[in-house]
Amino acid sequence: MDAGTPPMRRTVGQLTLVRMLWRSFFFLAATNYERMQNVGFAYCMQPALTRLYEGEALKQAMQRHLQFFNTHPYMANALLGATARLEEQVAEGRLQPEQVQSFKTCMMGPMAAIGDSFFFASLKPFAAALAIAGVLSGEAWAPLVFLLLYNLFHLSLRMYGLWAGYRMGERVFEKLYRIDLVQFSDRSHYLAGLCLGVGAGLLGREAMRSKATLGQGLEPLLFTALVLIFFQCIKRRMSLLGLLYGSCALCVVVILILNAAYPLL
Amino acid sequence: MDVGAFATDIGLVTVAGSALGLDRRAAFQVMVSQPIVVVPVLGLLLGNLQVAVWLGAVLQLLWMSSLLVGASVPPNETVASVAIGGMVLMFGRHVQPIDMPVLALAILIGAPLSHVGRWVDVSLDRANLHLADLADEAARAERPALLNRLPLIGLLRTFLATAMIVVPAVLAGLGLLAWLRPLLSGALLRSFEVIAVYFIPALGMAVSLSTVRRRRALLLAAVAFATVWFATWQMEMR
Amino acid sequence: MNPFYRVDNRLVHGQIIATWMPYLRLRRFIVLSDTVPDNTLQKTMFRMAIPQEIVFQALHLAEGARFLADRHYGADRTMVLVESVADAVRLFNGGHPFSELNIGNVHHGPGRRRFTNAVYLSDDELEQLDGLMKKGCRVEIRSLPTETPILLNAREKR
Repeated sequence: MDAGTPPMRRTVGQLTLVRMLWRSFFFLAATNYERMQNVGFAYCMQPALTRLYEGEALKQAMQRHLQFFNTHPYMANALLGATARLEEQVAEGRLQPEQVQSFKTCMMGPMAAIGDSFFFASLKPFAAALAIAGVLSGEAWAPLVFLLLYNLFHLSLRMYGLWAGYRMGERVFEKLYRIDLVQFSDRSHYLAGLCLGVGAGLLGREAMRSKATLGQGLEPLLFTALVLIFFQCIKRRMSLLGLLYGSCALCVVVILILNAAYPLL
Repeated sequence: MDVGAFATDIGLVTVAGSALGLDRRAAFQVMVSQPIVVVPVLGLLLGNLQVAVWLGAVLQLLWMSSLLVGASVPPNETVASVAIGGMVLMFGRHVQPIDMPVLALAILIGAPLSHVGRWVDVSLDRANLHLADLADEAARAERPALLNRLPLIGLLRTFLATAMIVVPAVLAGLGLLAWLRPLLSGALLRSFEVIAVYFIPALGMAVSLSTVRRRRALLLAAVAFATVWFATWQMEMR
Repeated sequence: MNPFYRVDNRLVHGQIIATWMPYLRLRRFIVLSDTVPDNTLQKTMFRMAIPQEIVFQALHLAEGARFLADRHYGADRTMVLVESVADAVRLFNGGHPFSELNIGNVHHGPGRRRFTNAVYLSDDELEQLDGLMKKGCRVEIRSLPTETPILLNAREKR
């Protein structure tokens, strides 16, 4: 290269994004105590960094992405894409490296909030409740519905996030704003409630048809009473295992006493 | 007992369970590690899908509130589900047919494994500290390619750790089931029937309802429940 | 206990929205920080992550101390978030002595001792917290509402 020509402008490119997408599925594989997802982030950024830098600059870029990082694994893709764009600008000298770091730090909390509350706290319970209602009504393939419904959102967000992030850079949040996962999480709680109600009804039906029947169709009443008692206990932060063993021991004792008192039972 | 078939079954449970278990914290997160998926997969492999889907659904209800948020490590429902599913299905194939009391017993035996699993998760996070050190070294040496094997090491560790809980848990659980089930008779058998039909599903339902964020959504659940009850009552009483 | 005071190095994130918000039935978030009020991007992100009907404010510490002391949050169930123990102590000594402090996440760094998976405190911070406790503030370590809180007094006596 002639001494006078400016250095070739380096870009990340589509193929690199595809490699980053594949790597993003292993984002959490090296999660550790002290810096959480730092290795995962650097691992996913690696294809982009090696295209943009070499030598000392590469070393600094790698160290930059080995800092503490913690966010939701799906939302991370939007940040990976945006960070790749920002690193391009750093490589061109249009942006200070510190700005990449502060962008990441400032995005990771809110992204985790959106991802955790939409995917883990809303969509997962809803999709699972739907599948449970399906299973209890006798459809053995219902778990597939859970996987399809959940991953329709999950996989499209992973892909969309990475490319939108790369296209928009720092302004990726504008795209995410438009999807508005936050309001959507709220709605899925109503759907989850509906499915759980149906599931509870089907469990009541199962009790009617089981050997432990009470007769006269009263089984769901006992079931409801138990659910309400357990619900109150959980609200009072009693542990799952404590409730499980405590209530089962109580059940055994009560039935043994009843049996001794009224042997016909 | 056919030793070959027994060994194949435990191998299937371990490999499938640990591989799907990777999905939970190490790779993909496509939710195949959830009880509602992982137990039916074991059911398909061991030829009893019907029991497995019921069990998967109930275990899913019980651990619905186990959330992986931020730096907190919740009980590991996947390890517990694989162990419970594995012991029940193997009991059905090698000891005697599965009935409701067996399911109740297996859940009571296997539930604490969720806490063993949590302890393992915490230990894995600590073991992975050294991956962060290796990554620092890779950066210092300007050798980005060294990063590539780090997630692989993490995956391998998680797989082995899960397998190391699943194998002894399924064997011990199976032994306990084979020992305890014949001891149940009369009123005791009856009480385990009640536990499996009422207590465990009701506890699971309560856990799941506690994850529902809106009060009006709970009202919706009550209406749906009442409707299903009424419809069943109409049909069954006729 | 209203407002609820929390130290969290990521401020508003998944634990807050997915667990604490429904648990405490929160209606308002107040982030107190030297940097956040001047960082438009970060404020936009927080606003986006918090449901629309919940109030969100980012204030400088001095301004926040006044706001809280005058109870401008009204009847809203409120969570006050600061990034570090040092900021919490500044709020306490700077005109708003609160009676309970929750430590949710303080991530690892050199010279920090591990208390839970998510909380690592330095000796300096422990000393500062000791000061708060001597003035009657109850300090607990707890990331999620479902966890059992660790009260600091018991463990801090070395």
